[in-house]
Amino acid sequence: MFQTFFQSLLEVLQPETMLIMLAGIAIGFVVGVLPGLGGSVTLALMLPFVFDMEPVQAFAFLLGMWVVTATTGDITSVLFGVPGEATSAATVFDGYPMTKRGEAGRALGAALLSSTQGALLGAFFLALSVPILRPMVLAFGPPEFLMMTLLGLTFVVALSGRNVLKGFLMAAFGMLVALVGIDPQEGVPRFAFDQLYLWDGIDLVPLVIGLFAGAEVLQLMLSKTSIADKTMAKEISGIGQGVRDTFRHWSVVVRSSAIGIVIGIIPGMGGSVSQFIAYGHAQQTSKHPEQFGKGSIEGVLAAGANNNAKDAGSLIPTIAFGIPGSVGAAVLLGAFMITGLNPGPEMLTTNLNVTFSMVWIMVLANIVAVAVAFLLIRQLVKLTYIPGTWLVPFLLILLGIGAFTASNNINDIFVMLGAAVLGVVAIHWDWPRVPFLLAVVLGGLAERYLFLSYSLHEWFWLTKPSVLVLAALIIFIAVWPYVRSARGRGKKPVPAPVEQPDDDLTKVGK
Amino acid sequence: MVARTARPVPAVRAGDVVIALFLLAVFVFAYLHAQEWPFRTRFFPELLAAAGIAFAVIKLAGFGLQAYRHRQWARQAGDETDEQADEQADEHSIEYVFGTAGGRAWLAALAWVTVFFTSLLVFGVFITVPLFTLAYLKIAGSAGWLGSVIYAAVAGGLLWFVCGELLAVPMPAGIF
Repeated sequence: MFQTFFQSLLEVLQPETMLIMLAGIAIGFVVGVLPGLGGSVTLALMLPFVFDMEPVQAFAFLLGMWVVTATTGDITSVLFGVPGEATSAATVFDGYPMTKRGEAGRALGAALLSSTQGALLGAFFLALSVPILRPMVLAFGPPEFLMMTLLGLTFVVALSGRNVLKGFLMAAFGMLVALVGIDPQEGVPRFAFDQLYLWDGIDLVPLVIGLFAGAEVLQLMLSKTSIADKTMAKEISGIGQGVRDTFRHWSVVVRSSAIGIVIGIIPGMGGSVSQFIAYGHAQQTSKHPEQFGKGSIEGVLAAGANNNAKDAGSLIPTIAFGIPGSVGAAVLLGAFMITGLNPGPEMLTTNLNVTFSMVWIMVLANIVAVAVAFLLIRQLVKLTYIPGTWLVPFLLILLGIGAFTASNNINDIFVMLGAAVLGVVAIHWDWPRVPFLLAVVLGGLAERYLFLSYSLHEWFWLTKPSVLVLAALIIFIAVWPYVRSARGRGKKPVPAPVEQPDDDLTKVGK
Repeated sequence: MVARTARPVPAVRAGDVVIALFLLAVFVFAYLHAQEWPFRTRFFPELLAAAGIAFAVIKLAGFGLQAYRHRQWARQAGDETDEQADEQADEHSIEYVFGTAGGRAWLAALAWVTVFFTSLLVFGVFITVPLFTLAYLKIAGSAGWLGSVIYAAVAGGLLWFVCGELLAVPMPAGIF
C-alpha cells in the first residue's frame, strides 16, 4: 500500500499531469474569486474536456480546480464581503469586518493558511479513512441524519449572540423559506403562490449574496468611502500575523477541519451546513464569543479550515461507495464514469493508485494555489483602499451575475434583492442574519429526515442508541453557553479595563 | 447616603416591534395557509408556524415589559440619561452608516440600484454593464472621462470575453 501511495505521487508529478493540474488550478483560482460561479458549476462545464484524458490526469484537472475554488472563494468573502462560493459565506461574518478595520492582510493570511491546513488534514484523513469509515457511514440512517440536522440548528443559540429570541424568530422564518416549493411527501406546492419558479424552492446562492453582499454594497454606495480605511491599516505585518494566528489557534483549525470532514462524509448534509456548525462551535468554545461577527480571527480560521476539509470528506463516500457527499462530488462522479472508473471496492484495490493520486492532487493543488495567493496578497489588499464609487459598478455586476447563475433564472435576481432588503433591515435593527441562513440550509433536510425516520421506524426511532447519544450532544451544546456564563458570573469580578484613547482603533478585536 | 441608580433600561425601538409584528403576521398566514394542505404536507409548516407564533408573541410581550420598565427607569433617572444609554457606534461600521445616512443619500443609492437591475432585466448584461459603469462613475463618482471610459470598456469587454465567450456562462439577456 505504501509503495502505491508514493508511486501515485510520481504519477501526479509527471510533467504532462502537472501542466494539466496547473491549468485546473488557474481556472479554479479565477472561478473561486468570482462570486456565484460555483466550483460545482465549473466542474460540470469542464467535464467534456476530460474525455481523452487518463484517469489521473482527468482528476488532476478537475479535482485541482475544485479544491482551489474553495480556497480562493475566501478571498472575495474577506475583501468585499461577497462570498465567492455559497460555502464561503461564513468567512464573510468575520473576514469582512476585519477588512473594514484595515486587517485584510491578517484575515487573508489566516483564511488562506487555515484553508490549506484544512485541506491537508482532509487529504490525510482521506488517505487513512476509507476502510475504517465504511461501517460507520453505512450505519447512519434517516434518524441519525435528522439528529445531525437538529445538531446544526442548535447552533442558532450560539449564533444569535445576545438576541436569542430574535435568533429563534429568524430561524423559524428561515425554515419557512426553506419549505417553499414542492412538498417531497405529497407533491403539493407550498407557499408557491402559483409561481412556477417557486416550485423548485428558493436557491441558497441568491439568498447568501443578497443577505450579506447586498447590504455591504449599499453601505459603500451610501458612504462612498473605500472598504477599508487607510489610516487604520496595519499594512503588511497583518499577513504574518494571520499566519501566526493559524498556529496560535491550532485547535480551532483542527476541530473545524474535523467537523468539515465528518459532515462532508455524510451524504446530503452539504458544505453549507458544515461551515455554520464549525463557526458556531468555534464561537461556543471561544474565550471571546462576543467578538464573533465583528471581526474575530477565530471565526475566520474556523470557516476557512472547514471549507476545504469538507471537500476531502465528501470524496470519501464518493470513492468508497459511489455516494456523493456533496454537489461537487456528484459532478465529480461523472468524471469517474467518463474515465471508465467504478467507484466502490475497485477504487481500494485495482485502482488504489487513482485514489491516492487524488490525495496528492488535493495537497499539491492547495499548496500551489495558496502560494500564488500569498504572492498576490499585497495587491489584493490594495483593492480594499480603492474608493467605494469605483468598486460599486464591479460589485453590482458580481451581485447580479452571481445571483443569476444560481439557476439561470431572472427571478433569482429578485430573490437576491429581497434578501438584500432583509439583510439591511436585520443589520439596522440588530436582528441576527446567520440563524436565518442556517435554518434555510437545514429546514428542508430536517423535514425530509423526520418523515423518512417516521416512515421507517414510526416513533421508535427516538429510542435508537445513536439517536439518544446525538440528542445528549444537542442538549449539551444548547445548554453549555448558559452553564459557562453562569460559571463566569460565579467567579470573582474582574476589574474594569482601563479606557483606551479614542484613536486607538487598531486594538479593536485583539 | 447615596441613592442607588437603577440599571439603565433601553427604550423599545419602533422598528423592532414592526419586525416582530411582521414576522407574527407571516407565521399566522403560514399557519392558516397550511390548513388547505393534506396532513403530511402541512405537518411540518404547521409545527414551525406555531413555534414562530409563540416566539413572536413572547418577543412582543418582552417589548411591552421592556417599555414599561424603561418608563419606570426614565422617571427615576431623568430624561437626560436616556441618550447616554445609546451605545457608541464605530463610524465605519455598517450599522452606523445605515443609521446616519441622510434621506437624499438613501434615495440616490436606491435609485442607482433600481436603474442597474431594471436595465439588466430590460437590456441584458452586455449593454447594462458598460453603460451603467460609465454613468455611475461620471455622475455618482465624479470621475474623469478617460478613467470612466476605460473602466466601462474593460468591465464590459472582460465580462463578454470571460463569461460569454470563454466559459459560455448563461447571462441575463434582457427582453430585447
